[in-house]
Amino acid sequence: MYRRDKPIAFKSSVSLLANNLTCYINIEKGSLNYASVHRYLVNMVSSTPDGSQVTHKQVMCKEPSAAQQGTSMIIQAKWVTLPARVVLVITSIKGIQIFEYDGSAIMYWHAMRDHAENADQCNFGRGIAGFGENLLCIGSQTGEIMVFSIPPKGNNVALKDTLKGHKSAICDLTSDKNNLYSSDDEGNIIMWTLQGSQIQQTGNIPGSGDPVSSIGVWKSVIVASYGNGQIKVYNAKTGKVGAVVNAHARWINALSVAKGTGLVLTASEDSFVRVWQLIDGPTPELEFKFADCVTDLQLVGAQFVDDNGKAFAVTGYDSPDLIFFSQS
Amino acid sequence: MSLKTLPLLFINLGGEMVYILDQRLRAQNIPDEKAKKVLHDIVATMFHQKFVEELFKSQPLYSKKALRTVFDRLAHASIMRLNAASMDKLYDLMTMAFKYQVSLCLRSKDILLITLNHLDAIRKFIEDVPNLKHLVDHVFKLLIETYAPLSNGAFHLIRQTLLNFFQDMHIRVSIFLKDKVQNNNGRFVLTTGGLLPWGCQVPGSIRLFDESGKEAKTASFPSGGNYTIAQKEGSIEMKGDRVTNLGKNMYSISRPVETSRGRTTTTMSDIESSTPDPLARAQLDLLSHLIGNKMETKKMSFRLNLFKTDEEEEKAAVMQPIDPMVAESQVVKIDATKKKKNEELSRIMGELTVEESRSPSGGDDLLELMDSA
Repeated sequence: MYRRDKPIAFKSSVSLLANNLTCYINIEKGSLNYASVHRYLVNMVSSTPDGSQVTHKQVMCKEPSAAQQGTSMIIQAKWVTLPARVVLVITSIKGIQIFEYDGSAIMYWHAMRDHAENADQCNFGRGIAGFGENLLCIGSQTGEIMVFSIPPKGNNVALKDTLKGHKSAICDLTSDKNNLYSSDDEGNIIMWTLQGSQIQQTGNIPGSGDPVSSIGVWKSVIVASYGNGQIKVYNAKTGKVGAVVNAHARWINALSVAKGTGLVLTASEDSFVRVWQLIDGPTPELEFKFADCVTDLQLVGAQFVDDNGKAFAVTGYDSPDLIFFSQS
Repeated sequence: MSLKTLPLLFINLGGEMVYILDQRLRAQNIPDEKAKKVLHDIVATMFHQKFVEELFKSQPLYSKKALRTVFDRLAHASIMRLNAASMDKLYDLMTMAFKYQVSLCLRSKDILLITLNHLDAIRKFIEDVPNLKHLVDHVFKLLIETYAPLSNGAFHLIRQTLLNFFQDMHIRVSIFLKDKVQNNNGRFVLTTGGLLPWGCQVPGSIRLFDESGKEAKTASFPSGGNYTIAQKEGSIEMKGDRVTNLGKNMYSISRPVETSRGRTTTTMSDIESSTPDPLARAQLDLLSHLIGNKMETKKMSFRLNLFKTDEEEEKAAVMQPIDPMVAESQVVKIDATKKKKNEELSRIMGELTVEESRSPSGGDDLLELMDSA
């Protein structure tokens, strides 16, 4: 179904973090953009659609006040596409940074407060998703989800709301129009809905202790990947489970959904990347489509490049390679 | 970043150091009494109660440079002396061994079992010294108190923090190359198939449920390997079966460790290593204070050389970059046997020799080392 294409190498290696690859197609400029975290910086690659021209860039995490820069461990980097604007969000152990999509200018810096009652824990952001017209949601170690409003232009970003519901660290967030889905370290999933300007919790799926490393949504299907190698598929309205898959032999680090076709991509530390087809319904289903092993690479990032899932890219720990697959 | 990572990093690297030194001391026929003294002194320093208690406080990881300095000092806590080039080899071996263990462990929680394997082995080394046994037991208690209650997610964060620390280290180790667990480019071999993590099912099945939550259909897909389910979870009891072999002593008498240096792989500039770390400094001061108390035994000291000849050692020292962290870019090989060497191995293989210090200035190496670190 897919064959391997020529890889592109980032400027430096990829870190072992969940969801460590983000893609963005800039239609205006005709460029394909990829970004991945290397320890304390983000490697970006921009390529023409035919791959003939490739430009590199590195975005450092800068702290506005400190003289030193770039030594704090980055947890996640993600492009968020809102109706009016695309931003690059980087979370590190020091805080949250929001950049213009190309990493050229920083728009907003949110320092993460150390929680006095829990000083033996680093509080950092993990789980990033756009939501509604202009909202950006970012999960945290404490389980809270911060909701920022992003203006169509300028730097007037504001923290609007903090959603409380999770009792352990957020792993991933995903959204679909006015619905937001959040997952945590204990395996719990919470569904949220935007009603007017209020965000309400509308349901939850209790977990069993294995973290939900990554979560995606397509039509009325939630698909979640777990630390124990399983994938589970739920009805997004009722929370009922439709399918349980023993999918991988190790921790699943990344999951990506092709919004146009319902194809799902999963990548694990067992070095396998697998593609599945979601089937919508009262009890949603899932079919196996494709698998390949990327020899000796613990996979940490996987993203469909386009909405129809015609091509995808994966990254692995300690390697700079961005490995491409496309439909034959 | 997990703030609970440092104790695991320190104890496991220290454990690897003890394995390597023990093997070399024996292979080089260092008198039993002296060899024992070296290991006992190192364990006593490593697990000094006050130091260990500092270590277990929640804190970020040290910079690579600071951690390296800690081990430079630890290696010199006794009557044995290493020059900078030899110390590099020792440190490269320790770090690659622990990187291998953290990379290959089946699930993140196994890092605790790996640590207990190291601690079990250290306990055997000091079995006949009641004072030291007491220190090891104290570390065991702290480990269980700190790590037993942690969730899978918290352990995963610890593993991510460790692998972040070890990222871009691709030093080749000959014992790994021989066992075919490492490739020539320095990357570890990942096998498909084999034992699954505790609690993980064999990949390859899809179960579909109906609206009442009953299993309606099943389907299967190729798993890509021959997997077996874990029958037993590793024990964290004082004398339990850890199940995993990671963290056990891989250097037996019949498999001597030999190291050598060559030039390959990437050199990364690492801004982290040039940033001073105030927290680490405070602990370093404590450690050096502890070590400083037992510096009076200079006269029976001996020097451990990881190269064939003094000339080679000097050459290596000249090639040595000023920043010890660039040692990451060097190649170190441990050969499993002395007899059968393939061309490439022998080309870059040196020999580890231990000899009595020939000059009275042998003890100065340590001071030099501390200055340069």
